[in-house]
This record gives sequence, structure tokens and C-alpha cells, in this order.
Amino acid sequence: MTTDVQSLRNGNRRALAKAITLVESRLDAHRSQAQSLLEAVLPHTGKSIRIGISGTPGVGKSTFIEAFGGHLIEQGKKVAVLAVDPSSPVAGGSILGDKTRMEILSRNANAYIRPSPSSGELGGVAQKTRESMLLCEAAGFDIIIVETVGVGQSEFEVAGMVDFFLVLMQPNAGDDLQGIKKGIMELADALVINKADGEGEIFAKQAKQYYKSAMDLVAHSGFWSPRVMTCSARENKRIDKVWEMICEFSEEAKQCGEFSKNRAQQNKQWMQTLYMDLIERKMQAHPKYKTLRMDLESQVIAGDITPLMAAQRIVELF
Amino acid sequence: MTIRQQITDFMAQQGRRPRVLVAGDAASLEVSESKRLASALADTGFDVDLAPNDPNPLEIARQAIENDVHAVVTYADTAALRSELASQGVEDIVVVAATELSVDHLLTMIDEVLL
Repeated sequence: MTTDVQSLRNGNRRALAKAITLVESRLDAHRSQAQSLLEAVLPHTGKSIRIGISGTPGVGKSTFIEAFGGHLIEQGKKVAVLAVDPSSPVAGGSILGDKTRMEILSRNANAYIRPSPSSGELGGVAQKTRESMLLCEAAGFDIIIVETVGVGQSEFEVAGMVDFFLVLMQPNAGDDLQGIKKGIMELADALVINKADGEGEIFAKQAKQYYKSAMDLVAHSGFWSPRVMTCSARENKRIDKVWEMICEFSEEAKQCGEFSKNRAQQNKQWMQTLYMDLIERKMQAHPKYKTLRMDLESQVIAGDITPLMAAQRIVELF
Repeated sequence: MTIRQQITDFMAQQGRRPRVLVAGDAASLEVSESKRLASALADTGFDVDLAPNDPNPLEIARQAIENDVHAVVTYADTAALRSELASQGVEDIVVVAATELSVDHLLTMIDEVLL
């Protein structure tokens, strides 16, 4: 698999597509090729605004991205959408249906939509998305949207790789915080209540009041107080306000230096993750690892040895 | 060797599952048909992308390229899609008519193109 850095930088879609396949590959040989590719494009990355969009299934993520992405393109932006979807419970492969619900965006020449299969590896996918994000930046996309379902750790991982983290909410969340996971309030830079149309409008307004007071209880450090707003993706209402808010955020963040500080911090975290990953790979490559591990596992199952002792024996291989 | 084992081998060689785009057509019958087909392929071990409803050959080709799939299974005209892909310089994406699909054969065709 070879990727031509120049065609990638010229925005050639095939080159970008192949490059993303390369970073997603699980082969060690591809891994090192991917690393040299990333090194080559690194000077041409970092110029986009990276937006994470999360929300439970049915909240209207795809419809929102369709409307929001369309609005950005009208503003002259080039938009890449990377979908991390760990919610495919199929035993084998995954079904990546995103484009069926992003029909207009998927037909637009200034948009690139790439859903990534999860194949059961929750952690790994998000890390690869980080690399795919860099590739999209090098290919000239100004706005990178990372879409994730609120399952497992994926929200936390995505929040850790974007500049702005937006959580979409249902209008009928009622008077409790059901449907909002612990910790999400702290992660969100904005809660956007979708489906504020027709009868939903009243519920959305109520929910807005409710989430606002809930958000006020969460301590937020820094320059930005998270916003709560309503919109209707289906009727394309107040989608422009969401973008205005993100522009405001990014200007303020850049002015006070938080924008680059946050990215530097994320890189530090990323290094930590990569380092753990490399250690694990290195251990797995040890010739005795597999048999020792299988042996220890059966001892743990039989109750002959404690899990801690077994874990230590593996580490002692090195 | 079962198809699942073949897919495991494929993953070991390629670093990912075989990825297929299923493209439906306007008729609602074929839309639900294509979802059933997508589901069956995913169960077998393929990663499956779905095209928007009623796509034209240009749109199918574009999505196939953007998602970097190995093959397209389509209810639409295969000849038009083949020539669209060829005009974009793409020769390594297998095109199969949904009505003539055999899963075993699909994987073999993908393997042949990759060789």
C-alpha cells in the first residue's frame, strides 16, 4: 500500500481514502508505513477546527451533521466527517449506514464522510480517528467533525482529541438527568437540544432551562462557560447559531492561548496512550508470551494462582 | 474452509475486514432488500457501507472511493458503474450485481484483484 503525499495534499479523495485505510490497518508492516506518512504530513496539519459530536442513538446526530455540515459548506468551508461507531453489535463485521442519512452532504464535493468499522475494539478506533483527522487536515479540510455514539469510553476519547465537544440531547429528557452519562456534563462545551420543532419546541425549551441549571452546578474551569441551546436539524432552525457559538469559542480560545494549550495537552495524553499501546504490542511479540499467558489464564480459572500473581509473572518476562 | 475462516485469513493479510458497499435503488422493495443483504454480509464478517437511496453511478463510485471499499454490490446498472470507476482511474474495486451475488465468489473476486 503506497500513499502519495503530494496527491493527498492536493485533496485527492482516493489518496486520502487509502491513507485512512493505512492508519486503520492492524498489520505491523502497515503501522510503520502509517507512521512515516503521518510524519510527512505533520507540518501541514493542525489548521482546522476539530469538533466532536456525541449523542445517544435516535437523538438525530446524522440529521444534525447533514444540516450543520451543509451550513458550513455554504460558509465556504470544506468539511470532513469521521464517524466512530462502536455500536454495531453484529458478531462479524459492521454496518456503516451513515451516508444513507447524510444524503445531501454525501453528494457535496466539499464534504468527505468516512465511517470507521469498530470490530469490537472500542479503544483502538478512536486513536486511529485521531490520525485520520490529521490526514484530513493535510488534505485541506477546514472543519473536522468526529461523530460518536455515547457508548463506553468513546465519548471521553473523542472529547480528548477535539477543540470543541458538542453533546446532542433529546427535548423530552424530562426532569431528571436520565440519558446523560456521568462526566458528560464536564466534557461538554455545549449541550444542544435537537428536535425543537412542532410539539417538540415546548419540551425543548423546558429541557433547556433544566440543563442550564444543571450545567451551572458543574464547576467549569477556564474561560468558557458551556452553553445550552436548542435547534431543529430537520427544519434547519438555529443551526447557524450553533456555528456562531463555535466561532465565538474558537476566537476566545485562540485569544487567551487556551486553543493551543489544549492541543498540546491532548498530544501529551496521546503520547501516553501510544506508549501503553507500544508496550502491549512489544509484550505480545515475545516468543514465550502466548503460551505463558494461556498457562496462567487456566491457573487463574482453576483458582491455583491469584490474578495479581499471574499478571506479575507476565510482566516478569521482560 | 468456511467463509468465516477465509475472512479471518483475509484480515491477517490485509489488516482489515473485506469492505463492501451495498447500493440500493429507488424502489422501496429494493431498499429493504439491500438492507437485508447488508445485514447478511455483515453477519458473515464483511464490513458493509450503505449508499444513499437511489444513487447514480457517479455517486456510487464516489462513495466506493471515499470509503475505500473492496467491492460494490449494486442493484443498479453494473456496466455504468464499471465505466464510471474506470473513468476515475479505479480498477481495483470489484463490481457485482446484487441479483447475481454469491458470497464465496465475492471474496474470491476481491482476492484476485488484490493479488
